[in-house]
Amino acid sequence: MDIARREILAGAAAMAVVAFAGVSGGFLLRSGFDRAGIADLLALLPDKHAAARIGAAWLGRHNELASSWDTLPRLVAERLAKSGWRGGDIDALRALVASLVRTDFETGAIEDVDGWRISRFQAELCGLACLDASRPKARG
Amino acid sequence: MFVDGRQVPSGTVLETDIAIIGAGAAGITLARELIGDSRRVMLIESGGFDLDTDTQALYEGESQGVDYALDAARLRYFGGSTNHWGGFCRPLAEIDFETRDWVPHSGWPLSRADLDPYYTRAQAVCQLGRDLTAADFDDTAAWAKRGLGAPLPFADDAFVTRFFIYSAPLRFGEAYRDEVGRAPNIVTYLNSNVLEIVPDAMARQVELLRIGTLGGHTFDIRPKICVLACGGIENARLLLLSSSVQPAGLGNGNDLVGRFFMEHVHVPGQIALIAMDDKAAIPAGYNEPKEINGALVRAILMPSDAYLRREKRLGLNIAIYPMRAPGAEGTPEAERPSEAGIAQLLQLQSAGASATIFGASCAAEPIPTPGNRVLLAASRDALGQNRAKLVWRPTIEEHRDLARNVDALGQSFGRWGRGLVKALFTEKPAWGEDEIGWGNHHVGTTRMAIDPKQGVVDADARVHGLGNLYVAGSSVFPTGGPVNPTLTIVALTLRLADHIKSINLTGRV
Ligand SMILES: Cc1cc2nc3c(=O)[nH]c(=O)nc-3n(C[C@H](O)[C@H](O)[C@H](O)COP(=O)(O)OP(=O)(O)OC[C@H]3O[C@@H](n4cnc5c(N)ncnc54)[C@H](O)[C@@H]3O)c2cc1C
Repeated sequence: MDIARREILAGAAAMAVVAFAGVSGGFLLRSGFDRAGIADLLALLPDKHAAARIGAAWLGRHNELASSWDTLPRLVAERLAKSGWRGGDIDALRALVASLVRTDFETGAIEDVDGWRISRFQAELCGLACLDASRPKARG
Repeated sequence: MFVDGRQVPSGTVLETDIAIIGAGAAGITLARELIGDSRRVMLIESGGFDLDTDTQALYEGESQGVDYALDAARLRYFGGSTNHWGGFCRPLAEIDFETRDWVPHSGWPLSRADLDPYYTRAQAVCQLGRDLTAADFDDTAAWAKRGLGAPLPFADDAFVTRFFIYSAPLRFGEAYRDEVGRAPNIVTYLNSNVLEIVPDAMARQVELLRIGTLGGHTFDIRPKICVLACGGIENARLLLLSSSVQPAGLGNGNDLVGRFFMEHVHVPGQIALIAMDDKAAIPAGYNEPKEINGALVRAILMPSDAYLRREKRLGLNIAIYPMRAPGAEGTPEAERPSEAGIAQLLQLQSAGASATIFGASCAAEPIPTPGNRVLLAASRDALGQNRAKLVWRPTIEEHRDLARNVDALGQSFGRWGRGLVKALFTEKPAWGEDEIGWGNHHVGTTRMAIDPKQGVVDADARVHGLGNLYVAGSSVFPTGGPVNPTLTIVALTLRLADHIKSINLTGRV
């Protein structure tokens, strides 16, 4: 079983959507969210597997996000849009991520994942990696 | 001159102008200051020049709360506990002397400015390096220029870079033995234990010191001025043992002697892990002491005064240690997966060269708490004296404060963008036994206050109500700050020396 999925299941038994997920990856990259910058965001992570582990641990404590495939991507897409993201090169996206993360730390939007104090946006990014890795290809 | 107390015939009565009880950091510093003074000085020391197990056993005691080995936390021979101290030196900060409404019983009758000239002199006594002043402990620009590396450029003001300057560590006994021995006006009595400080019938003046040796000799010393310098636990014990005239103990009319005992909790191991995007983002000056211009210096992190005031927090000092690459060998199995992900988040933020994990360890400021105290135990030592009993348990408020400071550390690194923190010490309803380590710093048991109802000694370190009894050492600190005490002990002792030198003894009997 995919590790991210196993951890998600261990963390939140009630997550109906994830319950039938298989080993896969790439759902979000192939879905409509790519246009909203989500695909570019995920492309920033060279090791999606490592990010997905963190995402799984975090989503395990956020059933409201883990129990649907599109709630988290929509939230993240909205935040990117609100920050003025209309697409651009990878360096511009990196800079935007850095500023969103900084804002989170400034405003105390800090999440605890295995004791690591990461920003809400970092957690969301890892959560996306987890969802992306968990979603069955057939349903993409 | 050194005299072995065991050679003094029993029943002898000696007279002196100034008696100093205890030859540790405080006692030796005071004696040195009085070299060449017109007054005769007797320095009275329980031990000899080397560790002797029977004498050391006089330091055994009982503990309640934290299981605290009283005999391992200090040494009882010439040089005192400086025979095994670590040499970490740093002055208390201005805020440590202030009355802070969020720290019960805080506030010294002195300010940092009052002590500044003495700190600079104390640095010379502790041999911390030439041409340094008290300002050097905070001067990030100067140390950066001298090659220690730039301070961490946090985006917020919660944590700032400060410095420990190390003593060799100087063994006061070895370093100053010859100087004290040669001084024409000083006689040091070794193997001589003060058993009781006996005042006159009205308990207004110290009249004599009763001395005993392990061999069973007893003799008396009659001083005009007496300074108690036996260390933070023994100072209280000896006052409590001095009960033949005042049954509750000398200077204990307000039941304060022994109370407010404080230690610096050093959480064993790390309080936090810090994952950095690049090892070089934390300069080497933070990772180990560096020798610069003859001084041994190390950068540490401390909460800023602004943060302490704004958040109403206790002080803290944090040292950083390099550990390993994320997930590398030595990483606990359970940590490996998340460390790889954390490293990736950092590389995403700023593409540093190679991610590294650092550890952060700390020492925290204690809250003065009257129930934490030194008492007399029912059991007795080889001299027939009641042993000390230490009642000490850090409070839950101290736990909460430290956990919140660790949270703030996580926030500071996050805002900076180059590091992420894993908090290993988090808020809980009680201290875990494995969370309590300590620094062997014994503070507060004869606290200083202008009002005799609030403290045992006044601003000159004179015991309230007694005209000629003074206390030297960390027992007089009303609050302990977040750093090691010895530099402050020495600074206060130098100040006391100036005060004693200004006293006119003519006419005193
Ligand atoms: C392992 C360890 C590491 C430490 N590291 C540091 C550090 O890095 N930095 C720092 O600032 N501090 C450190 N300390 C604390 C430091 O050693 C003390 O703060 C300092 O020595 C206290 O000085 P003092 O003169 O008050 O007491 P002491 O140095 O303890 O001297 C007291 C003297 O009084 C004598 N005495 C006691 N009772 C009697 C009696 N009844 N009659 C006659 N003589 C008596 C004793 O024999 C002793 O010589 C450390 C302590 C320990 C144990």
